[in-house]
Amino acid sequence: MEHIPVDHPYFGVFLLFVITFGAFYMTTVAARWASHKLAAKTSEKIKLSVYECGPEITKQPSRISTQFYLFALLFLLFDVEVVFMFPWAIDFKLLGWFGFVEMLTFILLLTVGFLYAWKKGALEWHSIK
Amino acid sequence: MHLFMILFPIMLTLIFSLVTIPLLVWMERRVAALIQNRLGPNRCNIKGMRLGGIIQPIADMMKLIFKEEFYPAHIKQKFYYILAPGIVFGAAFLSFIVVPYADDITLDGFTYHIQALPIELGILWFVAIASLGVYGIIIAGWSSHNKYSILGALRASSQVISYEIAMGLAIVSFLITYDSISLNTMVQAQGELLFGFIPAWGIIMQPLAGLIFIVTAFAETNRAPFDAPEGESEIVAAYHTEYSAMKFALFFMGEYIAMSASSAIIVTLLFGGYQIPFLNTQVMHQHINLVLIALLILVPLLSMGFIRWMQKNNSCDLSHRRETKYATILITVFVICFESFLFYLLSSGLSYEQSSVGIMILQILSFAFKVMLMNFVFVWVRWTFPRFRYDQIQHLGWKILIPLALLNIFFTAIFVILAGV
Repeated sequence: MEHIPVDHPYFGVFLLFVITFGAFYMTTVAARWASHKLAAKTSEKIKLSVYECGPEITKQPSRISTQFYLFALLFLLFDVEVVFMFPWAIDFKLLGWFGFVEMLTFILLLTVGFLYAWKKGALEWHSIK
Repeated sequence: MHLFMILFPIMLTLIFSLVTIPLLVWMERRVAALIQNRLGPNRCNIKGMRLGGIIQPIADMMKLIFKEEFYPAHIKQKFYYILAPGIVFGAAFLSFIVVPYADDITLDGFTYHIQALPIELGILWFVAIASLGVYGIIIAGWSSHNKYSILGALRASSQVISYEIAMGLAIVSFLITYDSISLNTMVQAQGELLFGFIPAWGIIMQPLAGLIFIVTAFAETNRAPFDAPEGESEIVAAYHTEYSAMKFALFFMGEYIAMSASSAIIVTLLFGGYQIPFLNTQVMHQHINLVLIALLILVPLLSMGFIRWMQKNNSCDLSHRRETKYATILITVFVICFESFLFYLLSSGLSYEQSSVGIMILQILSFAFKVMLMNFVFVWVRWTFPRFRYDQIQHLGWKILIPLALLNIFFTAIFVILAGV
């Protein structure tokens, strides 16, 4: 018992991770074993087929609308902005007007890009006709 | 004692995340029934004990465990197929861990944080881990080889990353207001009074950022009105179309834990966390006897009201008679025991440590009450609003919430500089 570092702040994370892994194990191995022993089994070919008749099995990197990529790119841009703002916000009272003007310049520059994307129609959802 | 106080918040995390799942499922179905003017689940029972239908989710759970576990024949990447629900569940579960359940407590010279992960990062951990769940969704959709699945996964990921920006910006306004990133410090700041009579809760200090945060929290958990990723009428069950039995149950549980975690973070940031309005820890320490007397009066009154309500509701059905009788006896016995315990405490007087344990229990109960109320709001919204169309979701996220959040930061910053420095 002395070897377990219970005082470490991340001890709880470790413990919950173990529990998560346990739940995951339960669903993959143990539940498979239990249902193999207990559940009623029917061997129908149709049961193992893809859900609902009609949809074909897709090949994995099938065609994806470019709109999703556009959103992903914009997300990268703006999430970096948010990450920059976190330390700024915590020390904001120390920085005062200086920090305010610096961040305002940064955001204004990004807003220009945001407005450009907006006016270009990158934020619209284009329906394919 | 030392070990117990360290394991205590971890146990609380387990209770707040795992044990509340059946309760949330039950609440979801009963509130849906209430809103749609029907009865909801009330047939399942153990020897006539129905507990208002709470046996139903337990029966559902048993059913899911004993279902046949099989893999559809067209699944090629079985590893990713199995891994996906685990990621969704784990991410939701681990995002719960930073929430403070009560104020710091000093026992035997040690100061314990009632927080399973007592680090300063707080809200950053929540944002980071909660958004990991989207990997599970993408992997599930990708490995399912189904058009519905891949569409749902793409929609979910696109929606989550769109709303994450607005959420981050809303959090920045809170950071400016509270001047800290640690959730416990934020909650302690919310125990103060504004102008001497309003509790300084986040929703009062930052109404706009609070609203944006609530909306984005709804979108992040993929719940209605933002449930386009799993819109039943369009794409069946989306990313969990091809899942069954316990693998499906993990997705299901992950969704409810994520909802509970979002409620907990909303309560912590906006509604004062574990703080009881007008009674922060210092005030309660000073007036511990008054608090005890208030409990002495309130608990019997509330239980009496509950018993009256239960008897009135159960009187029309004869099959409920036995259950009503047992519940009445149980509640009465509990109230009598509790009252005599309170009398004992009042007569003997409390030491400082005893009163801090009492305050901790009260704060945990207050937190649990607020979280359940917020969960109720989640359910209420789900059964009240229709689903947004997908382009409307993106429109709201990018064109309304992000500019609003930026403006809010701008005005907050100006206000803080003019007022503070």
